Amino acid sequence: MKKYQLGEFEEIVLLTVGVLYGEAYGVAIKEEIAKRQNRKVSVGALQSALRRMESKGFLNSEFGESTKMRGGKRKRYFKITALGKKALDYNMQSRVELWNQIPDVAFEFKLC
Amino acid sequence: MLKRLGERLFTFYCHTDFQEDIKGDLEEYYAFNLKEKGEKYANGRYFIDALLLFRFSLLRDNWLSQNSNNIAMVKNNIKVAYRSMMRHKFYSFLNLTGLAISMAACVFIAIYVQDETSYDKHFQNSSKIYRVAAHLAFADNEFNLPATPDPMAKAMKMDFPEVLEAARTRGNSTEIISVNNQFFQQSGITWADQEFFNIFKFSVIRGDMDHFLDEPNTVVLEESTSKKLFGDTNPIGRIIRFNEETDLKVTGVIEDIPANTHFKYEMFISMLNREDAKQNIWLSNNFITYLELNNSILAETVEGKIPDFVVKHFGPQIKQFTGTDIATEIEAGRQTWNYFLQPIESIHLRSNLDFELDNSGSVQYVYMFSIIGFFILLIACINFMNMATARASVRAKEVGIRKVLGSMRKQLIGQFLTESLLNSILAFFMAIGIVYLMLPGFNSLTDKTLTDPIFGADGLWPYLGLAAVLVGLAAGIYPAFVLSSFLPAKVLKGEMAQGNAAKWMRNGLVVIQFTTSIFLIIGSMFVYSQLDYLQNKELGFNKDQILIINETHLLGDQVETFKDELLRSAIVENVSVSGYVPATNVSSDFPFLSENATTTDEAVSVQHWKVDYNYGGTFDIELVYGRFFNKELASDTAGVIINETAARRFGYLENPVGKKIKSLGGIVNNQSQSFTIIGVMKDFHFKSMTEQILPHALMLDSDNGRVNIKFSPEKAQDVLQFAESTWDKFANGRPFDYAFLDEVFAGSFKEQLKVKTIFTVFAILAISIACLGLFGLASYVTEQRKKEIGIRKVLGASTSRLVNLLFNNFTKLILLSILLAVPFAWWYMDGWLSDFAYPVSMNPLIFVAGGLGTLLIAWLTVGYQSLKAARRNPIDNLRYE
Repeated sequence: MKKYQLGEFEEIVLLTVGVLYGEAYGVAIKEEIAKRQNRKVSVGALQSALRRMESKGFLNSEFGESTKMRGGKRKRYFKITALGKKALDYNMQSRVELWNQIPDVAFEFKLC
Repeated sequence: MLKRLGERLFTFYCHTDFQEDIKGDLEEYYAFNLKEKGEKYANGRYFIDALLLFRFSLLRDNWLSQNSNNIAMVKNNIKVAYRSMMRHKFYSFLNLTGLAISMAACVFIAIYVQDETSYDKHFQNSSKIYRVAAHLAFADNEFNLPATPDPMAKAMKMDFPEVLEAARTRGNSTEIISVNNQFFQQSGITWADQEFFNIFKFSVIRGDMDHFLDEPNTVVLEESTSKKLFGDTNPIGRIIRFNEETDLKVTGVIEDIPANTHFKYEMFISMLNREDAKQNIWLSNNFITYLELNNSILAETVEGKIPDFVVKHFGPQIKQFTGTDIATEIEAGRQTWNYFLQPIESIHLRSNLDFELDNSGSVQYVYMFSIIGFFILLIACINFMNMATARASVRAKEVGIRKVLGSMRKQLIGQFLTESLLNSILAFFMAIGIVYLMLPGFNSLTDKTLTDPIFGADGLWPYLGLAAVLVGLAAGIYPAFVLSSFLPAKVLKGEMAQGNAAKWMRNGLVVIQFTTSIFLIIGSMFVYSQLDYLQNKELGFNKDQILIINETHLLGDQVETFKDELLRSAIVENVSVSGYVPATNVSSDFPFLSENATTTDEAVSVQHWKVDYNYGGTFDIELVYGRFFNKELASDTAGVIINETAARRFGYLENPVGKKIKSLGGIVNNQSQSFTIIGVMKDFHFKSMTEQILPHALMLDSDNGRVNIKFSPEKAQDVLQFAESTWDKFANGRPFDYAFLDEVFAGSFKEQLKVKTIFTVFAILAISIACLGLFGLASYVTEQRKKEIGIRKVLGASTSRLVNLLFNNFTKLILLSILLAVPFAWWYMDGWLSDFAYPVSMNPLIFVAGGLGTLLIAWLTVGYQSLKAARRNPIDNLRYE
């Protein structure tokens, strides 16, 4: 279903936002992905994915506190919405369904 | 520094809602990097991150991100336009075809005009290159020549500091050349100075351009000539035997000279091979002089210095030969020695001197065709406007409903404009299809070799696309404003009174259409009849049944034997050996004096042709007085036959046979010769039919350039075979080059024929497009009045009355158009015809035929519709309410 469509990167970001519940702002998300997935993420890619998903309604956000290190600028914390949850569910389910449809023979890698 | 720049950039493009937190994030990374990796890295990282944040979803609002209703509206407009086109397939078809055909016609005209105006602009510095031309006059004789004396180029370079380089060419002839005893007939041969290649910088394929022709016996070839003679081998250093006497060494090959150049040279022989190039004679003009100036604004300066230059250089020789002083002669108006500069870029279209190398272009035709193209497009646009407003009653309800539902006038205008744009763009694509379909025909008509004029290199497509949009707007703007101005309340109540204004407008447009098409029809009939007249005018000699064999000088002394051999055949009636054949553009003029003349000012410039005893019999030249040359009379070698014009100019009003003329004290041979007139021939066109007949004389002298065979009727093929086999006996493998005089003659009309065809085609196009529109309009008007017709019929009107009723309006319009078109056409054609030496008279029949013909065509167009409507059973018209 098109409504729930998520790209691979979007899915990772969305899941990470969930993992970081309450602490999910730009820098934190980037570090979390770097740590868990061992993959480098550019600020641009991350931010555009976040805003895109926000406009789709998978995320919402609110401003948080500002620190001196941020030059007086506030953080924006992201949260998964109900729709975002549904999208994640839908994505996982469709993957599982596909997994289950694979006949066992397909995984028998004998030397032939 | 980089950080600041990055921040600025980011602030510039990022959406304001996102700026604060992302900038905060960036600051955080920066602080982290500063600590871990140092300032340099942190700065760079910041900058790169800022750049990478340039993402579509993060940008400020722009025209793409705005969720604009406009696009939906435009889509809707297109959809509505499409539907309305599909609902009225017939009218849409008329509109589209008319527009497409006229656009295609305009494309062709644009291609033609583009090509015509591109002449000689492809050289480097072409704007600084000039040709020296002459306007010379003495007594009644006048010359406009593209040629100059042989020392002119050198002297100009010496005398004028503005002249950067000066070069000459001489001749443009077809000769026989051979390579390893294999003969070729080579056209486009000229003799040129080395400096010619300094002025015209051709692309060199082989050889050293700076030393192409600086030695005698050298020759430079065009690439295709080199291919023809030597195949793909390297021709440098190879030998070409010229006219069986001179060996020329190939020193260079240049790329083929583009077709849009005023000279069509294919082979350049070194000027050092010509004796006459060094003789320093100022009184004979045979050399074309090209100048390259330092700057094009200096042309006037140079021209200003020419009068003094002429006095300085021409003076001594004029004094020597005629005993007169040039300055006083010019002052008194007895002699004109006027030399001036022509920019080469304007030669093709604007220069029309005698003996031009390229006489095909005419700026007049370029204007004419541009105007015709515009007219045709105008007619098609008017069709569209008329159909749109005529159909207004149908669209009125739609407009009313739309307005009630809240449409703004602006939106309605937008909708109608979309409709016309859709039309014109569809027509544009159809036009492109037509153009590519008709391209071969166009190419053969105009002697061009275009393959892809629209999408190829320098293609016309951007202009055409723009033109399509402009046409769409122009055709759509009036209907759009009319249709969108309806008052919804009135329209929906059914009071569809289309004001008088709209009707006037429509009638006015029809009048414009028909005025232009009648003008085009009358114009093309005149062009047709004029050119027809010239082609079929009585010539005063026989052009049929004459076979010309060219290049017979190759036979040398054997020409006479060859001639006798030919004469033995029964199908050969007569044979004359002479290079001077009418319509072949040979010329050699020389001043002569009548026996009564006392001063050289009375000299008459006469074309004098060298002919043999059989000349008159072969060409059937009519004599008014006297006789032709006779072999039995030895005195005839000093005899001359002149034409009527020459007799008049010499002042011999009575029969001049027996009187004498003498050549002016020779400039070249420096000896005056006297001739006795033995005959006067009727004036005939020995040059182009379009030019005035000039003084002309035939003299007995040997010239073995051509052999002319008069053959029995219907024996063209036989005589050709016979002549060729006889030639082969004599010629030793030299090529047999022949022509039939009537074909040569037709060839001299090629240009006019082209114009004739183009004119006819466009006139037919114009009238058919106009009629297409009229047809649509008539069918619409009858449709609208069908209730009226039904009621009239029920009340007893006869079919003829009804047809009359429908006819009347259109007839009036067309009569008005005729009234408008005729004076305009009269005025224009009068001007056009005055350019011809022998114009047809302004035949009023042509005007009548043009007007009545149009009326008839219009009647046929409207008549079908009217008759159909009038004969219909009134019940069908009145049944539904």
